[in-house]
Amino acid sequence: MSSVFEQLRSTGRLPSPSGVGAKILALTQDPEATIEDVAALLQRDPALTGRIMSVANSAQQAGAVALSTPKAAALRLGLRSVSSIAVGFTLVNANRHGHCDGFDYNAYWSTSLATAVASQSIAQLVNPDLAPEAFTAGLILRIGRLALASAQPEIYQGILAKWRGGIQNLRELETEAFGLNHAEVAEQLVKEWGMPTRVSRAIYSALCGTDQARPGEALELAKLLEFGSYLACSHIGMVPTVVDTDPQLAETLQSFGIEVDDFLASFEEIVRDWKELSADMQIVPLPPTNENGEPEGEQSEGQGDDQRPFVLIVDDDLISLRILSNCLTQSGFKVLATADPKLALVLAIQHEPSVLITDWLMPEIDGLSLCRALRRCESGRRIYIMVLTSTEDESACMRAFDAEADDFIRKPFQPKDLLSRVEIGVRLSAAQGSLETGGQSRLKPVNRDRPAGDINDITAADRALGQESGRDERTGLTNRVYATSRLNAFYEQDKDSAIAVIALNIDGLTTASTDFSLSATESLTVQVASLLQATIREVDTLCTSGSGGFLVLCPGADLKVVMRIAERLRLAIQSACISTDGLPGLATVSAGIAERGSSTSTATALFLLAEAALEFGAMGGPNQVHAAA
Amino acid sequence: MQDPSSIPDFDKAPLDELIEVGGPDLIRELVELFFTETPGLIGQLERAITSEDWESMGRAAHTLKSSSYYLGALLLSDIGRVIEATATSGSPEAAKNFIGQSQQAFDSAKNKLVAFVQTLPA
Repeated sequence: MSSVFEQLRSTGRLPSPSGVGAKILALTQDPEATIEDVAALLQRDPALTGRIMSVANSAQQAGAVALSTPKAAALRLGLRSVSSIAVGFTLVNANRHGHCDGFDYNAYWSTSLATAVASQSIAQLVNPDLAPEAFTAGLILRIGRLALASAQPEIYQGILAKWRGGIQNLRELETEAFGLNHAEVAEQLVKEWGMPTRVSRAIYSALCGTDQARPGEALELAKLLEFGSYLACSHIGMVPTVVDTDPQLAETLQSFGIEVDDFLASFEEIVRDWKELSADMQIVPLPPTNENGEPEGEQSEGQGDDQRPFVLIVDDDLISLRILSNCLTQSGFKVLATADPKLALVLAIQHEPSVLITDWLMPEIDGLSLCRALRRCESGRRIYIMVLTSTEDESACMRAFDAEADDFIRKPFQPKDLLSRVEIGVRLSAAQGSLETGGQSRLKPVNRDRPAGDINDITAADRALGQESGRDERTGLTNRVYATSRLNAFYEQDKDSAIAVIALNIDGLTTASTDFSLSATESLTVQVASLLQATIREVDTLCTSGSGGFLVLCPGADLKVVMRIAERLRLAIQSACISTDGLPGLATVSAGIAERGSSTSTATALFLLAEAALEFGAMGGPNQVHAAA
Repeated sequence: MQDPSSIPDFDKAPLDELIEVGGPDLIRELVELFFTETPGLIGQLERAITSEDWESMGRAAHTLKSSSYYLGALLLSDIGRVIEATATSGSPEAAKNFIGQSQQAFDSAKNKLVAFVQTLPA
């Protein structure tokens, strides 16, 4: 086996801890190293420090004073645990993308992060001393698969294409191709990194079954990992969450001596931690993939099912969501279902489903706002969007089409009717894809039904003109292209700090644009722009949105602070008493606000969420601020 | 607007259609969800009428209307429809009476659903 491993290593592509993680790991091998040395190293990586502080505080006894310095955290956790966390953290950062087609890197880390937090929380209930190690071991439990995909991407791609589900089947395919499987690679790799033998042994046992393992510390950790992995693959992120009706879960809890109520209370925390950690690590938290080998497994990672048409569903009515998800899965679609419209926005941008089915009436962001937000970005325009509602309003259908939805279905739907319409959506979406590939025009015009000279078209032209300079020609403000790159840079450089965005529209201007002459529009936009510029904070950046409105980037602001800023801007315009031809009264602005959080892990998602909040708030009338809280 | 009292309280036709799609397991799961979710919706309606939050009332009624329909709880679904209509038509106070009836309609639907689930194959 070792010679095969040597060959893999000789590719130079096996994952390994880097930067501060590698240095801390080296320190643990040095008998002279002190906690001060570790704390000094930690300070060079604020994101890693944050994670270690959080683990150390969660490992505290209830009621203890929260730790506030990296040194205190390192003292609490010990050199070994700090090193383990550092290794895991730097691995994610260095391996969030790769070259193996068919290996979903985001899904891999989403499941790994879920396994890490679940293993840690279960350890917290049964043996708190093991909690930090359970976190790291959970995070790297599947490292053997990543290692094989990194060292031999083409061969591993072939394995994934052949994989029919089940961990045992995957191990067999790997052994056939490489002479060793991912469990053996993981054990070897983790040993090489200098982590304790009990961790490498526990990982191997958790992957191959704890039945054969010898009793001891490694077995205790292995059982925690096995349970953490089960939760990650079967429950965390699942909508709806039905943890209390799973007999296997009840049996496992009993074997650990954990009360069901204690577990259910922890489970909420596990899901929250997983979402927060995913946001920290810029990973989209995805619903679980069943990879434990049960024959009914539907969505194993890389299961060779990539050809199935992908449908994303969002509906806050869990019964309707479950029916939809069941109908589509049974009919051979690959389905992602969520009750959270903000998460749906992010999933839609990042995964580009063929079809998005969205409920209309949902709290915070409704289906039409979601639809409009998606149509603003290139990837969102390619999705076939179906709006679902039980409204009896006759004009609802037209309003959905105005928001650039492709289809409109009334609830309660007939499953067969729904399926045939989803199939039409998939076909149209595929046809559009092939037209685009062939360099032909879009199947679906973005600005259908809009009059010539519409402000959106004018702004689109302005936007094209200003793109290279990053500046809007009329207002002299920076434009959306610039704002996106600036926000992206902020996301890259500063993984922890708060930032919020305000999306602003001049009320009545974008919706009733034909009432305005071009010069009146320009003059109004310029006046409002200069007032906004004078009212924002010095650290804020005002730019044009590309659809007739504005965006403000507010570094350091959370939702509370950005609400105050947005209110100040709204009042500034209202009290300036600006009037212009075509405007029935004095000019006012409406704003939508959103802060960086677990559902806005990219700059684009944050902009779109603020704009969706603006759209949603606009239904309540003009001159308002609406938060995507 | 049709008076909910003239609506049959339960009809198994929607459930039969769902069995065709997802089998008895789907029905069992949906019934379980319905039992867990509906008290929350009725609670939201009661709180909304006290705090005069008509938007929240309309939303809860909207969800109640569609989720109970799928489970064949037609009377409860229709009560949801009427409450939603009154919440959006500017006379939400009229909904008070119907909110009172929703708990009773839910209890009745629950009994019918428990009996229906017992007839399902294992």
